[in-house]
Order: sequence, then C-alpha cells, then structure tokens
Amino acid sequence: MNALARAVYDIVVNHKSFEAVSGDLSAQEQAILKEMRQTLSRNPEDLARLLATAPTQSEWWSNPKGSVSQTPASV
Amino acid sequence: MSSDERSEANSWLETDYWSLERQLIGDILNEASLDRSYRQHLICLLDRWARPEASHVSLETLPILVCVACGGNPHQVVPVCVAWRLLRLGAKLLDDLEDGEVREGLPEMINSAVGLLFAGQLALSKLGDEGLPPTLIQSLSQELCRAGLAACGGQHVDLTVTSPDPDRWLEIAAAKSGVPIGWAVWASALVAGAQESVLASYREYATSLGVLLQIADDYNGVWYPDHVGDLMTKRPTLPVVYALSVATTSEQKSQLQALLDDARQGDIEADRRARKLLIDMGAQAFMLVLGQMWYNRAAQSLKQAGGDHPAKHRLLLALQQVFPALQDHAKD
Repeated sequence: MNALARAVYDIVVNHKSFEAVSGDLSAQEQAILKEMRQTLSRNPEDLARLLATAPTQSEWWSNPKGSVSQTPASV
Repeated sequence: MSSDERSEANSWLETDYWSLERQLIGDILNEASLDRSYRQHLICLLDRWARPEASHVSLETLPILVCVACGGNPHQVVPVCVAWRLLRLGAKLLDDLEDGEVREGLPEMINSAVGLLFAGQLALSKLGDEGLPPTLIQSLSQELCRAGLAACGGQHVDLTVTSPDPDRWLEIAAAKSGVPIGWAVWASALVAGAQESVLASYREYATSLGVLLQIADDYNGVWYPDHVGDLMTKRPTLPVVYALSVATTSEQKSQLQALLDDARQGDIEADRRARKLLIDMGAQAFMLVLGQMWYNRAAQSLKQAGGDHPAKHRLLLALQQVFPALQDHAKD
C-alpha cells in the first residue's frame, strides 16, 4: 500500500502517466489504478468539489434510536 | 428485493428481534445477581447506543442479515448479536478511555467496560438454549477470544506507533475493525449452518467491510466530521498518514506538521488550511482508490458466498452505502 500511495501522489500531483508509476505495484493495485484512471485524472480541487455533497454514514457505527431500558418488568 | 420482502425483514427487526434482544440482556444481567445500581448503569450505557432504524443496515443487524442470507433461522442468531453488541460497547468504552475522551468517572467506566466484556461471553453461552451443540459454541467462543486478542494487538500498535505508514495503518484497521466484524459475520453464518467455503467468503466480506468502514470513517473525520475534526486530535488518521508518507521534501512535511500542530491547539484556520493541503497532495484521491479496492474485495467475497436470498441483496446495498463518495466520484 505504501507503493500505491506513492503512485497516486505521482499521478495526481506530479502528473505522471499510469505506465510510469505502475512498476512497483501488485497486479491488484495496478488494476485498481486502471479502474480509477478517470477519477485520478481530475484536478484535486475538482474532485473535492464533486465530493462536496457526500453524506456521512455514521449510522453504521452508532445506533441512534430506541432504548434497551424498555426491558420487561421482570428485569 | 421486492418491497414485500424488504418489509418482511424490517418487520422482524422492528418487533421480534428487539424484544428478544431486550429479554436476553435482561436475563444475562438478572442471572448474575448484579447489584441493582450496576445493572441500571449498564442498561443506561446500552441506551446511549440504542437501536438503529430498521431500514438501515448497521453493524448491529449485520449478523442477522447474514444468518437469513445463509438460510438460517434468525431467532437462533440472537445470542450472537447480543454478544456482539455487548462486546462492541465494552470495546468502545475502553477505546474512548484510552484515547483520553472520558473526563470524569474513569474507574466506573473501566468497570463497566470489563463487565460488558464478561456479559458478552455469557450471551454466547445462551446459544445452548437454541439447541446448538456445545462444540459449536466452544468454537465460537474461542474464535471470539482470538478476534478480541487481535483487536487488542491492533490497538497496541495504534497507541504506541506515533507515525505509521499506510501499510501499518492498514494492519491496524484490519486488526481493530476488520477482524471483529469478521468474527460476528462468520459466527452468524456458522449458526445458520453454512458450509466452510461460504463461511470463509462471508468472513472475507466482513473483514473487507471493516477496513472499508475505517477508510470511510477517516475520510469523514477529516472532511465531514460530526463534531471535532480528526485533524484537531492526535489520532493518526489515514489522510495524514498518506500525506506524511508521500511528502517528498522536508519543507512539505514541516508545513503540514506545523498546520497539524496548530489545528490540535484549536486553530480553526490551521485546520482549514491543513485540509486544503491534504487535498492538494492527493489524499482524497488516495482514500477513494483505497476505498474502491476494499469495496471490490468485499463485493467479490459476497458474490463468492453464493445464494440469492433477498437478504444478500441488502448486504450488497449496505456495502454501497458505507462510503457514498465511491459512487459520487464515478458520476458525470
């Protein structure tokens, strides 16, 4: 994953080509960069604007509704 | 999934499941002859993490869906869900304590967390009442202990390594998040009577899901925080881990480090500038790439699990909802 991080940086910041950065990557990492080539070709600020409406998914982590204190009276 | 099928699943979650859960938690606390105030204290803590909307798949209801997707009887898996809930809350309390987020009542909180861990173990023993064989219950308990130990190992690294690189971050996320969720899902599939290959696929699905949740959590924690943003805490969050690992000059590293130091002192402008710098360094793009990679792994594992029960479609839908930015970036 360290190599993948470097590859993303080189594509997004240094504008290197996919071919130029893929040498140290595993086959799976190469495949994911290929799949996301279009996204990575965006300017970082454009990408941030596109993602500006992304909602959070905190309901996965917390359970905001209801109560277990409605346990039966025998408890 | 048809609206009738969805409504049937929701209806069971809305009525039977929560009633059974409450009953089981009550039984566990009663049978231990607990001091009344301690029992109430544990119930209050559980209240703060009360049930989600039935229409949302959550970590709490994930084992039920997996059980149903595997053709099992959801009633049988309730003890696993209760154990999962109690243990998760116990672990969360300890995590909050270790992160210094609890200001008052530390000894009581430690005592509650430990109590919840014991209560979680007791919940698993209730599988015997569902007619499951002792050897299966023992296997579930042993695997739970292994998962718990792995999570503690991940937490140790998290607490002691000040500047992890992305590989190290991934190890921590897998141990703390992926392995425990993997246990809960594997356990419910086992109770449902799934075959070995199906068990392995569901476990891999859940482990990947756990890592994806952590990636999404770190993404939201920096750019869409609920309260205090992650950059204002000392938590080693993935965007920062990434940026410090790829910074090529000492000036770049120093600039980011200085902004983070100021943000941790409560400087809102420094927090804003640090977020902007992370975007410029490609941190959002990296989070998306990594998120897509773990999403693909989870989706592939779910596919390999086989079967076509509507509950499985909900598991896929839930996966798509974990990190909505993955869907957003692909638009237009």
